[in-house]
Amino acid sequence: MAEFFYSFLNHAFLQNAIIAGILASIVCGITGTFVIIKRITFISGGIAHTVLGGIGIAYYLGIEPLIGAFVFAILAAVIIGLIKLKGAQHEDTVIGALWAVGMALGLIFMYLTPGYKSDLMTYLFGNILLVTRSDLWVLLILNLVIIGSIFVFYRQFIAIAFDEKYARISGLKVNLLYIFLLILIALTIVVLIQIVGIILVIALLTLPAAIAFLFSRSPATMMLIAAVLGIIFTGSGIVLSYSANLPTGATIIILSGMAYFISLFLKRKKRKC
Amino acid sequence: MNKIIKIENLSYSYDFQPSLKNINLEVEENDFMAILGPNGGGKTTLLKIILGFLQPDSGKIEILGTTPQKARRHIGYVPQYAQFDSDFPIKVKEVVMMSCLQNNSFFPKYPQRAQKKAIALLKKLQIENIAEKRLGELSGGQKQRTLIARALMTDPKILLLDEPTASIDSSIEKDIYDTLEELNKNTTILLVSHDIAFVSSYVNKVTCLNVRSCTHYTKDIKGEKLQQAYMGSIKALEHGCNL
Repeated sequence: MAEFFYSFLNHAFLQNAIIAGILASIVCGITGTFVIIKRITFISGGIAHTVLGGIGIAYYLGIEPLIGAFVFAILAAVIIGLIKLKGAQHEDTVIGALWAVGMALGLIFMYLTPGYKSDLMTYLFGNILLVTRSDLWVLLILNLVIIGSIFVFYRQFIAIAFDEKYARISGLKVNLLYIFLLILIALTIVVLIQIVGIILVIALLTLPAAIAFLFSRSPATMMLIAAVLGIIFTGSGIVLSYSANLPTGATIIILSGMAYFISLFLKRKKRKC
Repeated sequence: MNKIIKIENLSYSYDFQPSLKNINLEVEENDFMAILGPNGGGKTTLLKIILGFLQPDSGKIEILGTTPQKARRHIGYVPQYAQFDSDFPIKVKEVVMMSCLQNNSFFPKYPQRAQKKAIALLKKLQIENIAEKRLGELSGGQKQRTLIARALMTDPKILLLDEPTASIDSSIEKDIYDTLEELNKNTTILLVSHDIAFVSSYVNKVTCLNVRSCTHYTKDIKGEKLQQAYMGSIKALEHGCNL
């Protein structure tokens, strides 16, 4: 612990990692709350994995991979949103197919790109210790965009999460709101991929919010609790993984997962009393 | 009397399987009408058409003199509550206020006016004490009253209820119908039910629906003794309609 703080004061990459963890946790708590209350974990997983296709193509074309990730995340959000709204009979299969095809595209384009392929692991499993100052700016701007949008549309998003059919009857533009919400989730996913990678992103998006769900009386408190939990998990994950020389993303997820199962257990116990 | 809902020769089929066939239905101002019928008889389909979510294959439907889509904002809809996630972290008051949201309702806070109105409605339905409770903490009857309050928030001309007492203890059922009877003084009410016996003492019209439809005035079919009238009317309905 003392060793970590000594390094923290002397190494910019650790400071960046902690700031990235805080920024990611805030946005995660806010959009993750909607993922939980609207029950769209699977859809979010679909968006996250499709993003690898965009990263692969950008990589191949020599563009900044983050741009490829953005484009594919938004495309995936719109396509999956439309599939869901159409109520196609096999929507889960279609989303599953997009999920796999996106990943396959990413792998093929990365394979076709000449050169060293260590980046693939970074995108799949993330590396918060590689976050740079300019990454932090991107994170900050995304945070402001996502938080601002959710602040403005808060009540309407809650309405479609609670009762989509009734929101439609009330005359809300449910389809637009739904796709917009998915796009915000997609943007959050792009932010989080840098921290924990594509494979683990869903865990970081949903676990803090899922724990908060057990103890909240309103979506707003749920967001607050989830953000604080996220900061605790990423912070302690960074410290622990640095001290024990373990992969950071995986450590963060294991901490979050353990906390989730413990809270489920505590909640059950409380109910029995 | 004003015609609130007018349906003429309306038909609707799912994949060539007729769900509604030549339906005729008239609801007048301050009617309290029950649509009765077995499961699969087309009750839900008819509700969806009245709410403007389905287009009939043929026939006419007019609500408040216009199309269902345009009339939708004058309809207060009360769904079966069974379809809700009761763990959803939301307070009763917020559920009620939610129905007055519009596309320009920005930022998290509801205006004072909406808050006052929600409380007044909860008071009217005798549940103001649960305004700050979570949906998951309510009893069946309280939940149903919450949904009725939500529907009333927009001052609807028509109250449309889907199986209002389907998942409620029969002891509370009477309370809910008494409340509806009270509301009927200035709102037209249309409700869907498969529970024949209870509803017939409150409503003034009954439409039987089993792919085809047939409407009766309850006053015409009530017999000598009230007890017998229930049973009698049901039998009369069954025989009279041949549905």
